[in-house]
Amino acid sequence: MKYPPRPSRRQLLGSLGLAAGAIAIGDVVLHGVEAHADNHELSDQNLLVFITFEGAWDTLLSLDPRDHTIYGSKASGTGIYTGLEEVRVFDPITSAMLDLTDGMSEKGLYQAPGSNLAFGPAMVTDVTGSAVTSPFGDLYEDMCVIRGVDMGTLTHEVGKRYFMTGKFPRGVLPSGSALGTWIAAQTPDSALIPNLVLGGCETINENLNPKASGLEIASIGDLQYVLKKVGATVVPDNIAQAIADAQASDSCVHKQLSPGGMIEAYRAGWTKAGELVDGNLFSDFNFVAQPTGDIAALYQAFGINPNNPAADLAGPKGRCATAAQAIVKGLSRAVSLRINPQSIDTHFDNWQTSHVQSLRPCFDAVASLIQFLKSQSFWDRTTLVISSEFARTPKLNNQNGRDHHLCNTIVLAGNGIKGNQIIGASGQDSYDVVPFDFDSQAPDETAPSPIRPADVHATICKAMDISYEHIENQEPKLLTEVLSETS
Amino acid sequence: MRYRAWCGLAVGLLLTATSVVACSSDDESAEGSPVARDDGPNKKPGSATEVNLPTLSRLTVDELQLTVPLIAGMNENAQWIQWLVNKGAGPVDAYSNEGLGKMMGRPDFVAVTNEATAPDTLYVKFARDMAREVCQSIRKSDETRSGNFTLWSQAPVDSAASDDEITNNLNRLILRFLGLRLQAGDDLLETYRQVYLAARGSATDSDAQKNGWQGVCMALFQDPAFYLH
Repeated sequence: MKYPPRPSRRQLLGSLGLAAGAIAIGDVVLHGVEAHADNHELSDQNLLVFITFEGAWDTLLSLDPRDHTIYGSKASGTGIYTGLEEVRVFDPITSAMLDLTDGMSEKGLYQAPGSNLAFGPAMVTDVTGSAVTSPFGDLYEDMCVIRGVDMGTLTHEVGKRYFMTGKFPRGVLPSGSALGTWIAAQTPDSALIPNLVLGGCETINENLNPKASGLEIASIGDLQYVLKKVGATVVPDNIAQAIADAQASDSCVHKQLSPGGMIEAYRAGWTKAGELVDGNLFSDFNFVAQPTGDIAALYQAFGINPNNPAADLAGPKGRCATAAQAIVKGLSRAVSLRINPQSIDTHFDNWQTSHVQSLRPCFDAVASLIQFLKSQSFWDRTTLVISSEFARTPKLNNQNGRDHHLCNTIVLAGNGIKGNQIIGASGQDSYDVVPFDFDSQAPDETAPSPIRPADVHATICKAMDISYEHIENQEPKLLTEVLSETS
Repeated sequence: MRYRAWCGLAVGLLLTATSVVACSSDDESAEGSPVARDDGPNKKPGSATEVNLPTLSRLTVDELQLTVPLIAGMNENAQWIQWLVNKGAGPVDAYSNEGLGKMMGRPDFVAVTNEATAPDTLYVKFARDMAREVCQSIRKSDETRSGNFTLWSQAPVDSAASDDEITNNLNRLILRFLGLRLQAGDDLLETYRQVYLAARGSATDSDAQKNGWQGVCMALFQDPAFYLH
């Protein structure tokens, strides 16, 4: 056992003095906090699922692909190379696609009948004979693909935080609050965990109600520590009640913690913590082997092996299943998750050997998430955002990898979003950002500015029928064509 | 150093006493209207959700990791009493990164460089868990001793404690946990007297009195004044 350092008596006395002093001066230095919480029921609320692929995805393999028959040669003379000849060596699905002659697969593309969206081999999960399977690609009617988004940075932390908040970071430090926090802050009392953050995704709360802060769950195993009491000690009801009374007492000492609103936040958390563990919520997230009831149905919907679920639960399937469960069980209004367990930051030949293989199960899990929310009648209220901090270069580097590239692609789907369309563009030869004319809502080389993350943020908020005043100083412009008529 | 420590204590207690006087003599000002803050040109009027940043914050996970053992004291084996959780590979310090530290918000200085110091639901939930488990450990430790008790140093548990002894012990525990020396009749003192009496119940046997002090311990470890500074 490692002992903490034993304090000297004088250190202890000094600490006591400082602690007492801090409490005493608290009411002098506190600023006012005014929480405005509308007590809407969660059943009335629009919901958000915010998915991020951390490490920078290759959009040529996924959301902004190119025709392999045109861009599949290093000697093509363009600034774009699909790289599929390298990929197919390690990926049988890509190889099988390129061998087909159905008019699309040999181009390295998947486009469902009736779809305006063509996706790359990362969205194809199987090729058997001439049958190409793409659960994600088949959901084209729900999806709006925004191409040519200028991320303004090639630094992972900056890009990640920029898209998360809609504000360009200060150095690498985030500016503003995460989108999930902003959504949760609209109605912080509407759910037990209004802002759930999974899989190591970041979350930020700057100046918003503390109750809207993201609750970060690194793994599904950690969820048991959140939804159950930790430890075996049982407290009799009469003692629990006495403790609750003391905690809520209106004593002078407590009043001195009140002007800043922190004691109210603490007490709100205290009450909510009791509801968390007393509400039998754990049974909804008791992801054991060979489950029954709702959990069994959830496993089936996400393709999680019921006999040995651990590996699936740690990956994209488990993360998306947890997000879906949090939504349909009313636990959360906003769920943010990092979907990829392994990094996709493939600067070297690991791009060739692993990138498409890493993306594929993630997009497949997203497709399961959409289908599950549809089956549970939650899709109509859910807006889905799929992003990465930026893209990867359109040509291979000397190590057969791809480096960081500014021109990104974002997917929006669900509530408030008009699907089956592409907004914005990347250059046909350069793969650079093409400026965007917000009046005509079309790419225009002569337009003064490109699509920026702030514009996408504002559009998401508009789709969800909430204010985007928090990013007004970014002067966002709406992508009105993204919005459905009901937005 | 000795001089500085005593000065720290003296100044702290003086400030506490001053504020207690202010609190009891002017409740309205203590509840206070929010202090106006200049938010500069970026302040957006009419925001439904934005709130002013409070300057109070909760104890960080690092601070908790150091503070809880200091307050809980040592067990019969001369080991610091810690909050332990079993995450599969045996008990670990709950505040460590192998325990619950990262989940509670300790920065990893890779992706997260700042610890958010608002007391969110998860933080308070773990405060409740810690209070139950650590107070149980302190009681078990005290039950193995013949003296130098942590929870009942000023009041007997083998015989019925007098009101004065109960008051003295409450004062000692409040000083130990919250760093506050309260005046006789202070409302917080009375609050904890009620916790003691409720947890003890009508019986005055040894177990009942120990229950009372364990209840006070759990309440103190959940008191906002312990976490907010």
